Amino acid sequence: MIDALQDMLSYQFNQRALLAAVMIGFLNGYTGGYVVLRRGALFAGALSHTLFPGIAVGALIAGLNPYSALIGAFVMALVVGLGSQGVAAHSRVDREAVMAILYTAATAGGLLVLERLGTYVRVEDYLFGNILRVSNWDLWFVYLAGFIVLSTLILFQRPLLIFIFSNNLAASYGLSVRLMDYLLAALVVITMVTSLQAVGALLAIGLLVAPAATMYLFSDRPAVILWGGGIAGVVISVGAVVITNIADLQTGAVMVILLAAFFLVGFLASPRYGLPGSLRARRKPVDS
Amino acid sequence: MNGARIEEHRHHALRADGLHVHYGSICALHDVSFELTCGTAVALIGGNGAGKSTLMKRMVGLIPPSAGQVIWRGVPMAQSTHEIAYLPQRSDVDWSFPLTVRGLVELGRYPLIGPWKPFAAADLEAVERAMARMQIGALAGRQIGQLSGGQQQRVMIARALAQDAHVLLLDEPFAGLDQPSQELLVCLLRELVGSGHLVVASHHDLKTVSDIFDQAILLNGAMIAHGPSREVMTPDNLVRAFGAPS
Repeated sequence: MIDALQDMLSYQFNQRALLAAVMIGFLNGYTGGYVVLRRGALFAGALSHTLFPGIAVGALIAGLNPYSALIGAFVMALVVGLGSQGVAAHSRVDREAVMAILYTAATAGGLLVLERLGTYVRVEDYLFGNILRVSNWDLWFVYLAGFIVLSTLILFQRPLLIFIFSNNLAASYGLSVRLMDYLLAALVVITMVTSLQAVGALLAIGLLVAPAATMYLFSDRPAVILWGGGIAGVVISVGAVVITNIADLQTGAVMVILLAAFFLVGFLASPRYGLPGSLRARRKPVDS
Repeated sequence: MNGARIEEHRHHALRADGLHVHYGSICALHDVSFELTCGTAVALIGGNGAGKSTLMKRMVGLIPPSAGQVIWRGVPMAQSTHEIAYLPQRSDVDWSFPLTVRGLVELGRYPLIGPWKPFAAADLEAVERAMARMQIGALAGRQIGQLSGGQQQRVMIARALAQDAHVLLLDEPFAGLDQPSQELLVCLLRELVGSGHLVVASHHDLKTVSDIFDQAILLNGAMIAHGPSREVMTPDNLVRAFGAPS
């Protein structure tokens, strides 16, 4: 086992993959805490569907390469995410409904673009990710973006949590609810774009939501959910890289399946907010 | 609170000057003016859509003004102040949020310490004091969803006390509470009034207005009447506020 690990670490691409897994795992787990607390998984999931058409448009403009993919995905997610928030703020239709229209339109556009480009096969890495192909440049990008997102979330933890708990309370404290709404959406987009290399556009939402959702089953303290989600994200991402090295599997897929298993175990084991708690509550009706 | 501070509080006044609130083309509040002093309990009375919540939200700055101004301690309120706390209806609060009783009361310190300053001994003490005053100290570690309605209301008041609020604007504080919880809440609110707080609450039970509140404001989109509860709660005024009984 130790020999296998030493052998694995002797390859530079493995070292880079592990370093990327540490940051991507923590970044997603921590940011995902805000998504789960805000009950924004649906929104974030819809947002993740814009990454793929973004990559396609990036490829149309500058050819398919890591730079055009990242920038295209980022711009598309930002346009659709902030756009749907803006349209919802100025109409009767809610954000999720506007989002559904915009991201399916973007996906349709992306398909047409790809058909024109004839690059179906080559986009696979961006759909499902391939952390073993992380370059030095990618690694720098992951750490820089991760640092920006995490430091913003940590610095503004107090106002952001008040905003998520109650818009009214935040507004009565003089905080700008709209600004924080946009800020959080933008940070979630950066996080998902940063994960493209590891898990790809289709699986990004799983890595974002699962760690914190599992912590949410165990704690009533936001700090525990946020930091616990980050740590769980690191352990599982690194674990997935090691496993796929030994078993020669697709890393992103292993990562997301491990996360789902982690959540399932949490659901079965959480004494208060999982299955045991729910069964106990049924047996013993609480006084109203 | 010591006697001198209570006396100082009693001179503080909250004044509304010609408040108008419009939602698009709908006028929710029309030309409402009054002056309230600390050390008083004031009931906001009116039917659904009479503007009770709107008035409270306007006073705390949650709704942008269409016209008029709120004057607190002689100065027009340009932005929100920690001295005026708004407590939404219980049904408007996400009680499943992973927050303990202590965690929610601690949120009250935020306007005083801002986003970065760590909790000091004085902040912890203010939180403890607020919880003790509302008799929820024993519940400090509970998740807020695991409380009774009366306890949840007291936690929200404790949050307002932790932020050193002089004025408490409560939206339907008695809604859905059983009799013992209502009685305890009345006791605690009267105690706050006795210590110099201004308590303003929207209230539905017309029979208990005079027992709980010193003054009443009757609203029907516009101001119908304002004065001592017993004088204001006349059949004539009630018809004007609620319309003739059908």
